[in-house]
Amino acid sequence: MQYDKSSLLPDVAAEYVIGTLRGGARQRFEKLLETDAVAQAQVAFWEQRLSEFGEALEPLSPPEESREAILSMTRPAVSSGSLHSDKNASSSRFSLFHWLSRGFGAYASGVATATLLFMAIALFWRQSDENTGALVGESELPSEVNAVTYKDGTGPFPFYSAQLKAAASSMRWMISISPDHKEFSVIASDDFLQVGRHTVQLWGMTSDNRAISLGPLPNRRDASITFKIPNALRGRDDVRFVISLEGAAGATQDRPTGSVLDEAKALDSI
Amino acid sequence: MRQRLDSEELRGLILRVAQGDHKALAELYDLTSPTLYSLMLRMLRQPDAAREALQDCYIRVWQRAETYSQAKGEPLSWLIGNARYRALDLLRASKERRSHISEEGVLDGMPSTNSSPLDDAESAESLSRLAFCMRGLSEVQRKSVLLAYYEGYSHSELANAMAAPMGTVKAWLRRGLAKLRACLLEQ
Repeated sequence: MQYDKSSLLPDVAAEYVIGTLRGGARQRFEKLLETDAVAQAQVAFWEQRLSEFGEALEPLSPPEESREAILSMTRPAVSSGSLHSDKNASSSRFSLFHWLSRGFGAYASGVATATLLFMAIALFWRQSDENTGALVGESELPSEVNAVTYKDGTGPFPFYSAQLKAAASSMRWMISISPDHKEFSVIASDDFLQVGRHTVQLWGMTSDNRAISLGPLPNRRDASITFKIPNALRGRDDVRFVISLEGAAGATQDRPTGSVLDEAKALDSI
Repeated sequence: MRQRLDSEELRGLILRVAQGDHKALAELYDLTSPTLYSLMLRMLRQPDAAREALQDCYIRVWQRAETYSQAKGEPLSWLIGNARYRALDLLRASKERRSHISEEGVLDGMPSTNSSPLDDAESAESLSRLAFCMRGLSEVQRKSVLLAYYEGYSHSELANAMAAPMGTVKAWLRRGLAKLRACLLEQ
């Protein structure tokens, strides 16, 4: 559906809010919503008016444990590194991350065909983005220090490098490297709501214990971020990736100051 | 009669949540969770799924309360919108759930074309506009809108539930929403 005709916007906005706008059309409309004030106003109109359907239902108190769970997950206790997780419901859902990471597992085992397969997947993904709208990803502010460049909707690169996880959680991030070794791509396996108001920061550590901040990681399922590989890491074969839990603004020091959640050595030289 | 929540109070709580006030989140939850949970349960049918959606919704509110502004309308509408989008995500992720729900089962207990929760609330002046405008829709248009809203049905699911071709159902829904919009703008 084309949105260049403003007369179509009210209809599309209505179907977006009510939920019948699906798939690529929904993703394209969400992209439009990021910048188009008219589309935003139309969505606000329908959200406001249709919410009366929700208000019309007889209120029903949720179980007490829901309140405790929500308050526990949002309590600043997260900063102590105590991560809570209840991913049972989401673990059975299809995840692009898991599909891809299984393929990268084969690659890491030395199956050459997996490389070709994932190059094809990466190409398909990029092509698919052009056709159906980009996958919605995280939009974080770039780090001035590291000249990080974030792109929404970027798929994995052909070369698997490492996988990191959040302790006591099903959350994983997969790191892959571009063929020219100039960029990393990081893709998130799931929604990581437990992080609360904190950010998960990715670092590159060298064997001489130098820490280089690479930037905050996405915390939405299948969201990806691409950033340039700093010169200090390029070509090295001793790089370990480390993730730490930092404040909302990201790392303020040149080393991890929050809890270190995980670390993994890069598979090959960067 | 159910009591409408105080918009100013909710707005103030959301602003406090945006500033990281954890106690405000608890107060906001206490005031609004029965409304959101009722809708989640209605849409998802399963208490576990409703609880998950509710949980995700409030965690997102905690993380993104600063994105709320008065320009986005009533705070409860904003909360309901957040909760409903999360429920729609869950519904899309579990399409197989439809396989065991018969058409008759789906229509049982949902707002019929003759009465709906809106009718019960119609005496509350602030809730009467949508109910009034819904009465201007044809039966099939009204049913399409209600099934899409309360059940999160896609076009194809609507076609199955209403035993009509998908193109016909799309037209019912599109015309119904257009009529609804025109009526709401007149109010």
